[in-house]
Amino acid sequence: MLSMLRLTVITLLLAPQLAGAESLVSSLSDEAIEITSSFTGSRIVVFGVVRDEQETLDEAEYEIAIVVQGPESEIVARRKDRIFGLWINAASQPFFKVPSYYVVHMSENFSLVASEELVAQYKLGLANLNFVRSAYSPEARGFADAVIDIRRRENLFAERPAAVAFLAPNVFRTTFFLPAIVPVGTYRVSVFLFRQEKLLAAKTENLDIAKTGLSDNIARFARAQGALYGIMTVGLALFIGWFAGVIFRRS
Amino acid sequence: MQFYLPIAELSVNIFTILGMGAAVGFLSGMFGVGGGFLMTPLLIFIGIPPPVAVGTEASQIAASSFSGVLVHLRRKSVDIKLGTVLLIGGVVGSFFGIMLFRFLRDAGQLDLIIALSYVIFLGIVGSLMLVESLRAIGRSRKTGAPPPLRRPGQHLWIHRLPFKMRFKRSKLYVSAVPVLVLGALVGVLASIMGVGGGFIMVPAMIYLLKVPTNVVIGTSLFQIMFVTAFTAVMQAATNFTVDMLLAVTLMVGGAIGAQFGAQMGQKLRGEQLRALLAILVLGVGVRFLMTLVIQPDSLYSIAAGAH
Repeated sequence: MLSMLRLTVITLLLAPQLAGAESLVSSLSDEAIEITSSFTGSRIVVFGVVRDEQETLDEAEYEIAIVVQGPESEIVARRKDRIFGLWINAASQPFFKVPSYYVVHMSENFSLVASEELVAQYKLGLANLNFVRSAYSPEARGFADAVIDIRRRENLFAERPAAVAFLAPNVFRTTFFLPAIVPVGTYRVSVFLFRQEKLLAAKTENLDIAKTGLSDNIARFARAQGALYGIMTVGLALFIGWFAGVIFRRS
Repeated sequence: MQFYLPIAELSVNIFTILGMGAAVGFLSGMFGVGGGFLMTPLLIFIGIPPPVAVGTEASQIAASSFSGVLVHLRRKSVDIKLGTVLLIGGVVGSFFGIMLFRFLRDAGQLDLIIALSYVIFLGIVGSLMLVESLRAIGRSRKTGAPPPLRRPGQHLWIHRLPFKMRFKRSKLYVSAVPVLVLGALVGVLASIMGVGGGFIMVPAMIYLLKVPTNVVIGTSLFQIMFVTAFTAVMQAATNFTVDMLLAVTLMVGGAIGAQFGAQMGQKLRGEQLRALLAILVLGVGVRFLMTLVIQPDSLYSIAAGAH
């Protein structure tokens, strides 16, 4: 059962605010995504138009980078070593403020020409995440790389250098995929508009991701009222045990 | 049909879980065992996080042992006084087990200890059962009749301990100390391994406490039902590792499977059943040992922060 939810973020770029004639005003057509029990993944479609107020039809192209980032949390990364022939968790490294989801999509022209300094300045890309940058020692760096690797395999982290497509020179579009395991919370969708190493406009919108349906209600209740939830589960268990016994005796 | 398990945070196929419940229910009906030592590993092997498998299975064992207790109460084959002393020990053991569970989880060693406990307990119990049942099969081939259960008559050191209590139903006059210790041991196992502990409880009651065999099963089920129920509530309240949807699906599958298993069990001979069960127990132990010995695909793992 596939429940695909689509969210269109319409980003209109107009009204001069920054250096150039272009800037961003964006709006979300939906401000929340709800995930149901049979959730197998969802999508965020980001769609935008650059409107040039001064009609300075520059021959150079626009370059786009779009980041979707989930809520941050503290984690512990662990590494197994072989001890007495058994693979056992040995070394560990805590990381603070690790995003639960971080995916950056760029237009191909941006990923080809952007300098490392520019990418670092606007913290675009996994190598520029705070927890990666704060890992100074080679040991800590190894753990940070492992965290990125694990989250990449779960499709929670990604860098896609040619994922923003231009439908026209001033119209762009990209689609982010959210796997079923995405954590809930407030996500940030940031759109950056560059041209030749210069930021023309940037805009960040919040996006709430919530889970609804039976599973999420159970999870919330289990977290909020653990003891009561446990008593109810056991009550249900005893009822099913009794009921099975009744059926048994009759057959 | 996929459904999302709220605590395990995993999408699973409902028929896979129902099928597993039925298969383990069938085996437990056939062998007359609780099945926790099969179900918890199976859940871990299909990808349920070990802490959630252990916490959830406690609630399923409460359900299946409750069915059993009701039958034994009707037959009056439960020593409620003995069961109550066992269960006091069990509740204390379970409480410390839950604390240990939490400590090990924060230290990142819980999965290791769960696997090691299975390797050790299943290895010992499986080996003993296999040797005993093969000997019995050998003897019955010679004589053609099933051998009687051996019960040595002499008193053990256990019967010299103080704080003696009289258990009328079991016709027993024994110290409360070993009863409490046995109960506590089973309580710790319930919270760390997600098992009822019948595989320790039943032989210990027969051979150490000399409880008459006709009340052993009912009394151990009585204790297991209360201790696993207590464990499930504690796990839910302190570690958030009980998945209600998973538990209910397993219970429904298990109840159906147990019916057919019990019918099948009556057709096989006791010592053959025990040999089969021993092979199964050893197989699960070996499977856990492999997860510890073989180099994992990824040496790294991520856990939520300690605070």
